[in-house]
Amino acid sequence: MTEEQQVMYFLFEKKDAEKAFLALLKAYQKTIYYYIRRMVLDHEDADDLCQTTFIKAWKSLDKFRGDSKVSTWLHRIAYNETMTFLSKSKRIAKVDLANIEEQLPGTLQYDPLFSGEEIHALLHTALATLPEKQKAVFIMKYFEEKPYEEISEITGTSIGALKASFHHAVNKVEAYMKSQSKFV
Amino acid sequence: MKKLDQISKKEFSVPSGYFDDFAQSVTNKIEKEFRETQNEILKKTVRRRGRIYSLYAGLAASAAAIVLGIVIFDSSTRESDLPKYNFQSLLDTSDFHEEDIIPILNHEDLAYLFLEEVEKIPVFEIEKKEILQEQIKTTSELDSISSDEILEYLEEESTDILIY
Repeated sequence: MTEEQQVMYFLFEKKDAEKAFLALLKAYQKTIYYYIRRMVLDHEDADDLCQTTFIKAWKSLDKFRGDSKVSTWLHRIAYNETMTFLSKSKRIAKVDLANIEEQLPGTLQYDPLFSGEEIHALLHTALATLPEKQKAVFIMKYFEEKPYEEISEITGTSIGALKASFHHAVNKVEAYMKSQSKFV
Repeated sequence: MKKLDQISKKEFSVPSGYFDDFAQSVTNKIEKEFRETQNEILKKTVRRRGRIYSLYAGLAASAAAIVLGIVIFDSSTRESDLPKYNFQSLLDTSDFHEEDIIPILNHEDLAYLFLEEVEKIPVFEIEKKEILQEQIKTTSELDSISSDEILEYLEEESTDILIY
């Protein structure tokens, strides 16, 4: 039985919401956390948003009818929470492009919970220059390798628009990284 | 330059034991929120009950005031404003005089009190009844509503009396 099937089994066959929720937590906490972390970068913010995502999932678990995969439903909650957070806080995604090279790599490289190499810091600096939705699409497609159909369900955007968005995002990221001569 | 697809995807780490404790943190938060919600509901219920009780108390006080006002008004009307009559003796007396009855029937409050006394008499003397009816008819011509009501009452009551 897959993790997805286990959640559905507890939810619809056993009618045990608590067990279904614990199975949901265990199965998807890492996926959801890393999606949010890549969006907001800071661990504390990611932790808060991740907890909020699961609390909202718990509160609306009785409304989940199984029309989509439970992971897609959960990811949609995380996506909405993160977008709301970013638009409210005007954080990393809204950093002025002119100052981003000075701000972000330094922030990430001195973050004890950033285990990546210099190129990862550069990649996230490039991602920070993207509009929030384009960044979300890039993260879901590039890092999580989700199919466009699922990203479409999560974001409520057509597949055609998502393909265009990802194409633009990749071009912008590559252009930004090429512009940093030390990586050429 | 490294291509995008050549970059590894493990750039972030988490504090030690973070994912082991995560489920517990979430369930603790849910329980805390639940308790806070319950407390809030309880407080709201208590406040709402308080408001309802205040409303009831207000209504009860108003009703009591109204009843008290009526009682005071009623008793003051009956006791201080109304002329004193001994209805029982008036009805018992053999020499029943119409002039004794007319002032009573012309006064609404007295008329009702008088009727209450009439009701208590099991057998009403026909002579008295006839005189009384006659007086009431006369009185009703004086445009007194209470007299009409009294007449109606007596007509209803007259069957037994007339049979007797």
